[in-house]
Amino acid sequence: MAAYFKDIWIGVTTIIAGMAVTLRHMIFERAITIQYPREIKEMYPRARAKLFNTIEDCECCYKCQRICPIDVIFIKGLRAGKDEDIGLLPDGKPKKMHIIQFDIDFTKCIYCGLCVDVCEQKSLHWEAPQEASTVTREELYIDFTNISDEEKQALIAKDEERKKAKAAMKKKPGAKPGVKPAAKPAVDKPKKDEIKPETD
Amino acid sequence: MNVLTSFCNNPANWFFIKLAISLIYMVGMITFVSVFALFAIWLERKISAWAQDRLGPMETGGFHGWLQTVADMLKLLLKEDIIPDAVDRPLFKLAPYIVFASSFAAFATLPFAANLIGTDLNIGIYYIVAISSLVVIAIIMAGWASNNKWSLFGAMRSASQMISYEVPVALALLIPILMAGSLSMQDLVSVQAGGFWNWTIFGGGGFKLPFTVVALPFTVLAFLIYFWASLAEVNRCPFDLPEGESEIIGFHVEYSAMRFGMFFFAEFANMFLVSGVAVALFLGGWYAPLPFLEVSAETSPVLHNIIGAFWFISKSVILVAVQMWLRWTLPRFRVDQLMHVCWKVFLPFSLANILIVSLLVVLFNQ
Amino acid sequence: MSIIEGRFAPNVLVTSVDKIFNWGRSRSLWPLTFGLACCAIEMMATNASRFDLDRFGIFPRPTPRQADVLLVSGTLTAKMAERVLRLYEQMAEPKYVISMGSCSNSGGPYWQHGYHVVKGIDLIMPVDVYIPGCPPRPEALIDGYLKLREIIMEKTIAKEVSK
Repeated sequence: MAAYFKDIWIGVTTIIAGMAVTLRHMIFERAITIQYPREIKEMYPRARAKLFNTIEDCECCYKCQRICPIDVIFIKGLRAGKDEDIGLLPDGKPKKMHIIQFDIDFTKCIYCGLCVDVCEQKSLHWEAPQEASTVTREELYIDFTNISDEEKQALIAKDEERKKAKAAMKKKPGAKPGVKPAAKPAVDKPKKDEIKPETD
Repeated sequence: MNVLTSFCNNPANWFFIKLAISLIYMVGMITFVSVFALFAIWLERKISAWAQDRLGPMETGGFHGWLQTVADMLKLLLKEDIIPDAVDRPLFKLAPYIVFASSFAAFATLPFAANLIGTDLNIGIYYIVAISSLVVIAIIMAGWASNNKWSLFGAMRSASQMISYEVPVALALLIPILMAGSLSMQDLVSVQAGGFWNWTIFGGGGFKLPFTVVALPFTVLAFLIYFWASLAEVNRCPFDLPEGESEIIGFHVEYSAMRFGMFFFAEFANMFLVSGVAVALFLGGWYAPLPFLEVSAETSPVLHNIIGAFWFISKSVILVAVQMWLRWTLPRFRVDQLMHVCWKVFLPFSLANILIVSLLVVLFNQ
Repeated sequence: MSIIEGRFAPNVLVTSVDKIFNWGRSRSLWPLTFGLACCAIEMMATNASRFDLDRFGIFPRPTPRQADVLLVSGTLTAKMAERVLRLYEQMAEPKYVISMGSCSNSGGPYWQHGYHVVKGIDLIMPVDVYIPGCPPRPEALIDGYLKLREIIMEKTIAKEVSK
């Protein structure tokens, strides 16, 4: 019997205590809500928000592509001619590569940050904010290069010419062996339809 | 004007006049209940937000999201009304209307003010207790007709809960009835006239001042039992097992669009109903807490009613807010705990309470 | 589809009604309480006090019949795909789908060798908004909802006219 009344007593007092807690929160404590579109919380400096590549600083070293654990960075570079001057890198060295493709597929990217860590020129970096919702999946396939299609075609044609000339030089005996053309990784934009889900 | 006066003076036409007045009152009441439900849903979301250090609806309609529930209702009206193939179609369609109708029918004898009452039945409180139990039937209908095991479980839980808790509710309501000696709502209110010390919760309501002190603990106990058991009656937390939104899916799991909206509305209408009954029977009804805060019927009958309705509604809204406050404080009971609280705690206490108050009435009441 | 949709030719009246309807629909997006993987944690965080989706009238409903938005938050395995599809089919029109995070956008880290993962939920259901991120921050999720709102505001109940 004593336990019965004790239970009731505990029930009543704990309800009162609990209601006091909620009342305190309702009246005295301020809301901690950040009203997002109106007030934006600043991102932490090392927050992994959104990848961005400033293409002017990019060396086209393929390090990011190689380290990417899920292979979502697609780079294509063409070696510039020896006499060509295409600007300097942040560390003062001359640029050696034309970049005709630098794509990151943000539908797949897992924001692990390995590519940022290996980037020597700090061209690939994090950028706030992260918000980038889109209506189509293709919009998330982002191309960071800033050259037009005509320029791209011109560069490719030029590269072909150069290669032909080099091959012709190689055939001639006694000629100096030229610099090997840069390895061209055969990566292409993967098509959505290629990969079908396993159905059971 | 003459035509109207002669029409009104002819006793043969009184039936139509009464009909017209009750129709107007009914439409007004439906409007009031709907507006109150919209407001209460907004209030509930705000209170839940404040209790959790959030802000609640803020964007819709400008000031603190005051149009939020309007948008919700608009959307619910526009949504597809799914009636699954396997349901019992007539019952499935009928259930939401019965839920709303039964809670709305009980508003007929709720005294908003001296003259603002649907009908002052001489068994008013009995009528309310009886008609609000119709909800159980509608909920079982909803659960059964959905042809879904979870909704059937929810309906069975709900039925057992609501039928069990009707016992302590009715027993607790007997206390003010004993003290006032009447079942009519206006009689129950009018014995509490003249300041808060005459309210039934403070031992008044039939007793005169020296004896109220003796009756005080028992009337407070009756009020608390009524308030808690009524929470179970209207399926509010901590007794919201029938809905159990997040874990134990409740009886309206198959309902979409406005049929679900009807359940939602009925819940908030019910909350106002039980609060209104508590106010009428325990908290002085439409009387002001202090006598000088009201306008007497002699000076201005219209103002008397308006001020009365103001006091009644504001007291009820405060009780509704307390229900919400409780909801966002307490976790949900288990079914066995629920039954334990009902049959082993509320029932003996309310029975003992009735015995003592009856003795007091015999001893002290003239 | 509700009763009035697709019945009237586009005219002045319909466009004004559209505005009201779209306002109601976009201001009251109830997502389904449904989480798949780690993105669901971020979804919960967004619903909680710090970011508080209830500010926009977004609060989760536990049953698909009463929900408007299916938020696919996380890795969708081939086994789960059936269930998600069923939930989607149980929802009442108008319904919207938000794909949250890399996994549901395109399979994410499993896009090459994940034998068990659906490579993007748009293979099994129409998607309205894609949110990138792994997982997306709460801000990004709110941004996704706001994007969905914009999309809804452009919808119409009028018949489609062949141009």
